[in-house]
Amino acid sequence: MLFNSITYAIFLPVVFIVYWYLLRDRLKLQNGFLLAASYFFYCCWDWKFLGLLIFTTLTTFFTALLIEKTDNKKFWLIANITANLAVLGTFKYLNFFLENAINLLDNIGFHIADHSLLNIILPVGISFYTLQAISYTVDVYKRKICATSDYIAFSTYIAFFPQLVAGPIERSVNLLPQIQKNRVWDYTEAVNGMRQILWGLFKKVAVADLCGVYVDRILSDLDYYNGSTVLLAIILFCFQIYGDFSGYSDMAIGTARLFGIKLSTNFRYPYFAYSIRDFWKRWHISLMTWLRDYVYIPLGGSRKSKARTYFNIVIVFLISGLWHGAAWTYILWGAFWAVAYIAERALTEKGETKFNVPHYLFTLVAILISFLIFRANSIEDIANIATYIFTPALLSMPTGLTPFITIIPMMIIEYAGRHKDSPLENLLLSAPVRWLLYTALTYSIIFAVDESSAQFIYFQF
Amino acid sequence: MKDDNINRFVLKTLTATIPILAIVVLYIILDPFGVVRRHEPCPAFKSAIPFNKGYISTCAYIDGREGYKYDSFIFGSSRTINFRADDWAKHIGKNASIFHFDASNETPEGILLKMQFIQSKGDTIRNALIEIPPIFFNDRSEYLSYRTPWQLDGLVSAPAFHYYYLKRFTDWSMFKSIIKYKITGAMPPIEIADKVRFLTTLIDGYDEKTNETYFNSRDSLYALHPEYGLSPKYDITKFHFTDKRATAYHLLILKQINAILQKDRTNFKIILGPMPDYTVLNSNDTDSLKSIFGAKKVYDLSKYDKAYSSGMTFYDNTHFTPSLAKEMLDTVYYCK
Repeated sequence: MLFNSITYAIFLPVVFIVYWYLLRDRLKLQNGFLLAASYFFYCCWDWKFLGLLIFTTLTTFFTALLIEKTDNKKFWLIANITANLAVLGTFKYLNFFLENAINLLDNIGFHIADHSLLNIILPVGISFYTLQAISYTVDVYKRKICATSDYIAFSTYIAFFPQLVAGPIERSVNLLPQIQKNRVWDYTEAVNGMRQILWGLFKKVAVADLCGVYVDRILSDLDYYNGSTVLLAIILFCFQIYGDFSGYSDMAIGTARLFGIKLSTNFRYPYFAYSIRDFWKRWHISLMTWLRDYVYIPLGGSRKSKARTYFNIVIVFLISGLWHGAAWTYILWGAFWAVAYIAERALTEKGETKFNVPHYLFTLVAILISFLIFRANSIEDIANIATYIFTPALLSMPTGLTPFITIIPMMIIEYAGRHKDSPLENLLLSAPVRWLLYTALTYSIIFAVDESSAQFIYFQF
Repeated sequence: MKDDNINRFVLKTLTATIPILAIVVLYIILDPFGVVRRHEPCPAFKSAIPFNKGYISTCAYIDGREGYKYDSFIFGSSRTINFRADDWAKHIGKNASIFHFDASNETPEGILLKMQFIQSKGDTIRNALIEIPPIFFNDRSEYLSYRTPWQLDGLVSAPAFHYYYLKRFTDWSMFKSIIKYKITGAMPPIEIADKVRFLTTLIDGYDEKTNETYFNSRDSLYALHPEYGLSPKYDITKFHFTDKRATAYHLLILKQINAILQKDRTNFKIILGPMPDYTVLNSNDTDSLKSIFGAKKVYDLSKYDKAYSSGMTFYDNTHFTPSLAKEMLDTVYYCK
């Protein structure tokens, strides 16, 4: 059930009406209903993996109680982390490691005949809810939060449908208390939620999907296009992935606001970042803060030597790359960012806090190169695309500028609203002008939708 | 907080959907694809966007079956429109109540669905005429005028059928073309009109009973200008097999069609029609058809000499003339 589907357009109002009109101020029933709706939402993707979601929920729930109530706290913590990572590793990385092991053995003379890889399907959302579960266990261990004995509330925390399949990755200290107490209807929050959903839809459908058509067309037929057009395709991909992922996050956060729940901000206008460090405070914030708190800081963060700090940074970015998928391109993507991040850090000491044009352009170039790596199908493909870009035709006029019809308005609106959580909130415009804007966005969404509207890119992670 | 704030929010949200509703209302009023309301097929076919003939035929059959008691059916693609009911009636008896189940780019599944639909209505197929062109085993087309009518396709409900067309309406190129046509009468580009624009704009007659359309003005035009059409000459060296082959799924469908025809004890004939580009069905597929339906029921006219004699026998790359169709009927019904 995609957020930009007719099915969701029916599902959401039904859940909303039952939630507020029938179950208001009845916390347990409301949570139970939210849980049922979330499981239904998940089953629409693939009911076969509901069992896995429930398994993760159950094991984490009971492990947290054991951590709190027994003396073997560390044992249960490690057991839970191991179990969760084992499940994630099996579904996401087993084939990758097997394939590479077989290739390595082949290269050193041990040929394994008639091997076939396991046909493992990646369960939707596993990368997100697994991290969410692990963070809960760690937070209980560190006594940041008490282990809850309310299984329904905890299950809802894990499975809350707006953020279940593609984030934001929520922390228990933020989301669980909101689920455990009565939600209060807030008209302004709900209206801002709808505005955020509208904005997210616009970014996903009118920007990301439109860019995607051109990106796919150009990159699947490189011989046909000149260097400047191929470069344009990578630029468009930067907007595609931003529109897709941040658009989904906006729809998720906006939806949660309709139910009186505040999710964490996941994107904060990353293409206005003035440095690489600033970029990583704005892009996929929930994942990066998770890695900071549960990987970087436990490894020592920046408290130890410079070499150790750089090592920790490399680990964080490699894990970030690997989290996106079991492929060498993602690992290379993570490695690239590690090098760029460390290089900037080394060259600028504490990092510049003011905008300057050269540094901004350097950041944009780094983003461009990183998404070339991200988009490529293989390591060889990266070099292949680069050879098509760096030709004399790089200076010629590119084709495929149509997506800028929606990209430019998006960037203008986001720049104007960059100090807000969502740019459409609290617009200082008269009502007729505001409604004209909403109508324009709605029609952009309607007329951008076609048969080839793509899946959300981050669902594959 | 008061409850009326929730109501106010709901009202505000509903207000925000007005732009969406406006598009839906416009779509219903314009009905550009002819699937919202029943249209008289004749004016309908003069639309710039070719209507879904399968849908119109299905509606015509539903409306007429009780009154006309159809028992004889012509199945096939737009090619078979030139097998005239009057000509066929000479061979199967004037008492036959003929219905021309016209559709664009018909597929095996399409024919099976129609037969199953007829059976589901309690009607019997006493006589059947099926024309199979070499493109019969192509992939199911996604052209909007070829969409299987929702009444026939058990997989797709009416809402999904109409939603498909509504989505096509909101395709920007399509929307622009439709609005421009409605306001100025300017024909849409050919890629929008699904390449059958020329054919459909020359329809000027319709028989409500048989669901047949007439092209008198087209025929007059071609009589004056036979060079507009195609007059291929017989050349054994030019015939070649189509690259599309029947799959196991297609053969399964054909067996189900045969089962229906056997159950109804239908007097049927299957014609493998000629093409102006000399394409013929693969011999394996021809053999399969004969094996499934019986060699005496399948008439391989793909190299029909009268299609490749002097004179114009095809209007374009696909459609043969009524005179050629009549010759084929005479051949299959008189040929022993």
